[in-house]
Amino acid sequence: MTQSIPEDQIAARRASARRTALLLAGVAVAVYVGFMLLNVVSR
Amino acid sequence: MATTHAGIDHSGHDDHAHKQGFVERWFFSTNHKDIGTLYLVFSFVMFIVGAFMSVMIRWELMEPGLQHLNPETFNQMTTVHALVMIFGGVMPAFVGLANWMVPLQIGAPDMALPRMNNWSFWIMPFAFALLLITFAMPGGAPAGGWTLYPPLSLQTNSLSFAIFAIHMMGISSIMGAINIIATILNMRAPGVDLLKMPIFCWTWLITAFLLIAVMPVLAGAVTMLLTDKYFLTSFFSAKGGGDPVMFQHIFWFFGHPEVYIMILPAFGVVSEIIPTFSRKPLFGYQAMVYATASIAFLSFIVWAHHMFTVGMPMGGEIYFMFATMLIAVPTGVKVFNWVTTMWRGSITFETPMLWAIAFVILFTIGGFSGLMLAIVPADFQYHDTYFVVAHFHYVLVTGALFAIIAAVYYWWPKWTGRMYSEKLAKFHFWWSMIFVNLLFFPQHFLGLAGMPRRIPDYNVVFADWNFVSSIGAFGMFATPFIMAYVLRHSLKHGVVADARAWEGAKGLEWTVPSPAPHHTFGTPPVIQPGDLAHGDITH
Repeated sequence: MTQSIPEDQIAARRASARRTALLLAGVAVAVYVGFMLLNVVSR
Repeated sequence: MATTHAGIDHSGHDDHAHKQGFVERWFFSTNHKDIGTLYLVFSFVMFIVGAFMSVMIRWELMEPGLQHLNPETFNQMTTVHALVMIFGGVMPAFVGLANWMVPLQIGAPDMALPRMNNWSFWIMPFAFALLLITFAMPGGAPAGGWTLYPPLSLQTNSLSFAIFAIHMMGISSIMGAINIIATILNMRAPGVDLLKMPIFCWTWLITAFLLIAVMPVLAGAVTMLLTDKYFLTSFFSAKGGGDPVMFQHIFWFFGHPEVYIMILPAFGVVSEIIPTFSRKPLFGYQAMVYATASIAFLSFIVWAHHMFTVGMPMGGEIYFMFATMLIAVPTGVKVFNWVTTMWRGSITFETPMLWAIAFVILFTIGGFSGLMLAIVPADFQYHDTYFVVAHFHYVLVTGALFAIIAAVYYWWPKWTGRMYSEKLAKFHFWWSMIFVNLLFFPQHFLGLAGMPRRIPDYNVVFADWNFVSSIGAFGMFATPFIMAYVLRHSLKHGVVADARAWEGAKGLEWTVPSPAPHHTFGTPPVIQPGDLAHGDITH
């Protein structure tokens, strides 16, 4: 047994997933760059 | 009784796989099940490659003296064995399991970002090709240990290849983690609340956050190593005023959470299997979730227990000792809950249950030896001995690897629609149980007697237990081939599996037919009472 989801809700879920992914990717890049900068500054 | 076919997309896409050519299906696939299969096959190959290196190592160590490998090759073998097993074997296997099972368990049609999913897999074969071809380079493969400590690692010519390979593996892991978080947070079917998700999804959600937090730290550390070697910086090079010990701190800030990245999904697998074959709900579901989160948090604040002997202030040693011991509390909660789930359950001992019980017992042995290593004065004695090798192999082989094998046997009927021969599968289990203990248990004795790790030759007093350990290694090398035979036999001769292949199994993945259709939950399922393993729903 299944239930259908309206198209706008599907689009909203996709957009939300993309936002989550971009946020997490931003965190990963920030940790990578920030961590190295921290080491450069602390030298 | 739950309905089968829940949420299967009947819009004409179910047989989509049959219309795809080989290249289109396996190279360009965006289907979570196909990509899960690719991950699992890749990790299986990598396990064999890594196991081959371990057999070479044990062949050399079978008797004192230098027989088969020169010391340089031996060091290369120990280094690349670890990198292959950790980044090529254990981690991709769990990502493969997540790809297959997370969407099925939360009622999602696929991963949230299917194209990125394809990309994160296909980076990996190139990363490992890059790492493994270093054996053919002048000077050979990296030989400074998987920890890549400078200044030793800086002396290897192939370091740049290894670092680029690690960057690629890291990117792959981070993309996989992002996908899992985005999927779990955004794609759950209505009714699958966070605290109703299967524990496997919970452990993976927490693991994915760990990955995003620590893989960039490793990437940063190895990038700085690269600039030290080729661009005249001196982050870790003492001759320019750098600090090699700083690298150790940074490495283990990544390295300790990495251990939990490899074991938390294993906890999830075992938490799925034990209730199924005990025919009881998991004892203390919420406590399991909070214990997993606690372990993940604590993993960030205990890193220096790997480096007590570098010479750190007494206060630091005492702090890291007690913080490390604290991890035993949430881990103990888990072990207690698994045992309590079995208590007075209607237990049967099908193959996945055997592996899961073996996991609980043997992983706990690895946990206890970890506690011994956490004690500062004792660690000064045990550090860099075979006791450490025995400890982490009990955690990673009889822990993580046993859970991966348990998961494959548990979900195999769902993946293929075929049961396997219990007789053959149990032979695989008992063979592995005997030889894995023969391989690793004597290493405790060797370590306590003072045998150092990462050496190709040793004092004759260590000869007997090394011989026994090597016999264990040769026996263990047969196990992937035995497993391959069991699974091939299942595909050819296995009995057709029901949708709910195991009598006590609960969860949305068991509401779809076996084998799971190529596309599932194209429209979200309506959750029926009894469908969910935790937090039942009523209509």
